[in-house]
Amino acid sequence: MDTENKNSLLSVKARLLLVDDEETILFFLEKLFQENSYLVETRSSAKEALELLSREEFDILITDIRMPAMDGIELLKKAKELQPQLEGMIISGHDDIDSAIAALKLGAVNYFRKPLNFDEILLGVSRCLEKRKLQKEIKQKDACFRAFIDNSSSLISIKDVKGRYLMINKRLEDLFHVTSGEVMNKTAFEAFSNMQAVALSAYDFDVLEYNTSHKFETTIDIDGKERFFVVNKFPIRLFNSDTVYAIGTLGTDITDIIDVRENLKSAEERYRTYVNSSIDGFFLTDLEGRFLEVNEAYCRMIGYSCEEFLQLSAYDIEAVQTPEEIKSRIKKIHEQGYERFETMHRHKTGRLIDVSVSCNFNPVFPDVFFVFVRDISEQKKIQRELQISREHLEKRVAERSNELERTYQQLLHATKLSSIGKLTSSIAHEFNNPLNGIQSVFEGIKLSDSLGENDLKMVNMALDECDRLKTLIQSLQDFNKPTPGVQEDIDIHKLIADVIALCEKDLLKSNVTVLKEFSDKIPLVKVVPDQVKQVLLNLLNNARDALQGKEGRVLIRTELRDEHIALHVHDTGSGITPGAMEHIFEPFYSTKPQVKGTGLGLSISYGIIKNHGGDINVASSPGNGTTFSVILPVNNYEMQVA
Amino acid sequence: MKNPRILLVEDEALLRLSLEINLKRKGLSVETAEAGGMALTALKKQPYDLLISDYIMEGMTGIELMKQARSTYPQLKVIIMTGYADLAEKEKIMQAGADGFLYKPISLDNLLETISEM
Repeated sequence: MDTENKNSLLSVKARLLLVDDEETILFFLEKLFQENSYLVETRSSAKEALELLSREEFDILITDIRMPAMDGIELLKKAKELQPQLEGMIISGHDDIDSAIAALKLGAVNYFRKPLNFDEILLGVSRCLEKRKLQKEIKQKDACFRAFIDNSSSLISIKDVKGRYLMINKRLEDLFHVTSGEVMNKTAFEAFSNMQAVALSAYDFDVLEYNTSHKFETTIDIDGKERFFVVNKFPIRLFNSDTVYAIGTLGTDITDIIDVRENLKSAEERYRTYVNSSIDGFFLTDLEGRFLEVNEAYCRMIGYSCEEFLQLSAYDIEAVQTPEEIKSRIKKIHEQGYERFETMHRHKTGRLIDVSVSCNFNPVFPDVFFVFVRDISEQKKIQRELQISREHLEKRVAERSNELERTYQQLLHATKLSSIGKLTSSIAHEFNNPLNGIQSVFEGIKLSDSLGENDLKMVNMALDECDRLKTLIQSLQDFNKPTPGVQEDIDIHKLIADVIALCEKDLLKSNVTVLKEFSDKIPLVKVVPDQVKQVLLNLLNNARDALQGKEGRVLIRTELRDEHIALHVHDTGSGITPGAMEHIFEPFYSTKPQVKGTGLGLSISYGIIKNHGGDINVASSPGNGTTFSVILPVNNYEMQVA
Repeated sequence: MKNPRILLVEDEALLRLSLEINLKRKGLSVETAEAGGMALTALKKQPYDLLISDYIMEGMTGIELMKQARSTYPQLKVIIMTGYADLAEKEKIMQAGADGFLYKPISLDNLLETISEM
C-alpha cells in the first residue's frame, strides 16, 4: 500500500495518540491506524491523555474537540506545552467551524469533520509526518551547513543584493573581532573600517551586474598586519532562476602560506648565494657519488662545464683513492655524518690538484652528500718548495760546514808547516856558526905542512861532512826562505823541457819514461824559474823513487784553469798511503830509505809554491800511482819578499 | 888590494879564531874583535883597509859598525857575512854600502876570493 510504503520509509514508526470520548470512534480509528502500521495509543479523556503525554513522546495527537471536563482545544494547548514538536489534529462536528479555526490558530495542522472520511484522515496523517520529516531534514542540513561554515578556516559571508550581511561565519567573527549580531543587516562600510570595507566589498558590484563569480587575491589590514586572501565571490540564485538573491564570499587566508613561500624563496636564494659566492668548490652527490649540483667555483677548479660535470661521479675526479677506498669512504660519511680529508682531484686536462675535502651527510636530506672542496695546490706547492729549500739549505750548510772544516784543517796544516819552517830555519841558522867554525878549523889544519897522509884523508872527510851539513842547513833555510831569485815571465813548457833535459838520463837509467801532455792555452807566468825548476825536479825525483826501479811512466800535464795554470805530475808508482798523506809536506818526513832523502823536498816545494801565491796538492791511492798538482796564478803575483 | 890590513869582527869564538889563523897562514894581516864596540876601539888605535864583519852581533849590527867606522875612514872596504840566506837581506846590506857579501858557512876559498876582489 501506498501509505504503508511511505510509513515504512520512516526509520521509526510514528506514534499516534487518539483522544475521544466516543468509544466507537476510538475503536475504528485505532483499528485503521494499526492496520496501516502506526503505533497507536487511545485515551477517552483529555486528563488521561495529558497523563500519558507527560510520560511518553508522540508524533501526532488526534483529538475530538467536544469532550467533557476538558475540550480538545485545551488539551492541544497543554499538550504543546509538554511536547512542543507534537503535531495536533482536530476532529470536529458540522457546527464546530469556529472551534476548528481556533485549534488551527493554536498550531493544529489539520482538522477532520464528522462524519469521518478514513482515507482523508490517513492522507492527512501521512502528509503531516512527511512534512515533519522534511522539516527535520532541513534542520539537519542546516545544522550540517552551519557546522561546515563555522568550522571552515575560510572566511565565509553572505550578503544581500544591497550588500548587507545576511550571515558571517565564526572564522570571520574571530578574525575581525565582531559577532554575527553586530554586522547582521549592515553593509561592510557600516560594520568595518573603511579600508577593510573596500577590500571586503571588492567585486560585489560585478557579481550582481554580470551574474558571475570572481576569484581574486587581496590584502586586508587586520590588527596592524597585512593578511593575504584568495577570495571567491559568487552569486547565489534561487530555484535555478537567474535572479541573484545574494552574494556569497569565500575567502581563504593564505598569509601563512605566503610567509612560508617567502621564507622558502629567500632561503633558497640565500643557499644559492652562499654556494655560488664561495671561493671553495661545492657539489652535491647522491649516495652513489654521482654529481647532482655543482657551484661555479668548483667548475673553474676542475675545468669542466657544469653540464659536463653533472655527467660524472666522484670516481671520475678522484686521483688518489681506489674505487674500493672511495666506496668505503662514502659508507663512512653515511654512517658518521661527516668526513674531512686531503686528496687529489683530476682536472679535465689531467693535471692533478691538491684539495682539502669536507663531506657532510644530514639525515634531513637522506639522498645527498654535501661536499666542500678547497684547492690547496698553492699551499702544498709552497710546502713542497719550503721542504726542498730547507733540504737544499741543510745540504748547503752541510757542504759549507765540510768546506769550513777542510779549510780549517788546511789552515791548521799550513800553520803547522809554517811554524815548523820558522823553527827549522832558526835552528839552521844556529847550526851555521858553529859549523862554520869547525869547517874553518879543518881548513886551517889542512893548510899545515906537517900533516900526514892519513890525517889529510880524515880532514878531507871531515870537510866533506861539513859540506853535507852545509847543504842540509841550506835546504832547511830554503824551506822557509827559498833560494833568492828574480821573478820572470816564463813559458812553463820551456821550463819543464829544461828540467826534463837535466834529469832525463837519470830517469831513463831508472826505466822511467816521461810523457808530456801540454795544453796549448797556457799563458806566460811570472815565477822565479830556478825555484819552480827545483819544485819540478823534486816532483820528478819523487816520481822516480815511487817507481822503485820498476819500469814505469811519468806524465807531465798542463792545463789552464780560470785564473790559474795547473801542472800535474802523475806517476804509475806505488802510491801514497792515507797515513803518509797527512804528513807529506812536513819537513823531515820521508818514506824513502834514510840515505836517499832528507824529507825536505816536498816541504821546500810547498814553501816555494805558496810563496808564489799558488798551491800544491796531491791525489793518490796506494797501487794506482800519485798525482801532484802545482797550481800557479796567471795574473802577476807579487811574491812576498820578506 | 895587496896586503890589506884586515879587521875581522865575529862573535863566534871558534870561527873568529880559525879564520884569523887561516888568513894569517895565507899571509894576510889580520886582527880580530868580538863585537862592534871593540872593533871601533881597535879602529881608533890604528887604521885598517878591510873590515870583515858578521851581520848579526850583540850590541850593534855589521852595518852599524860599517857606518860608524866609515865616518872616520870613508875609504874602508867592508865584507859582511851572514847566516841568513836571504835575498832581501843581501840587497839591504849591499844597498847600505857593503863591498862584499858572504853567506855562512863561508869556506876559506870563498873568503880569499872575495878579499882579492876588493
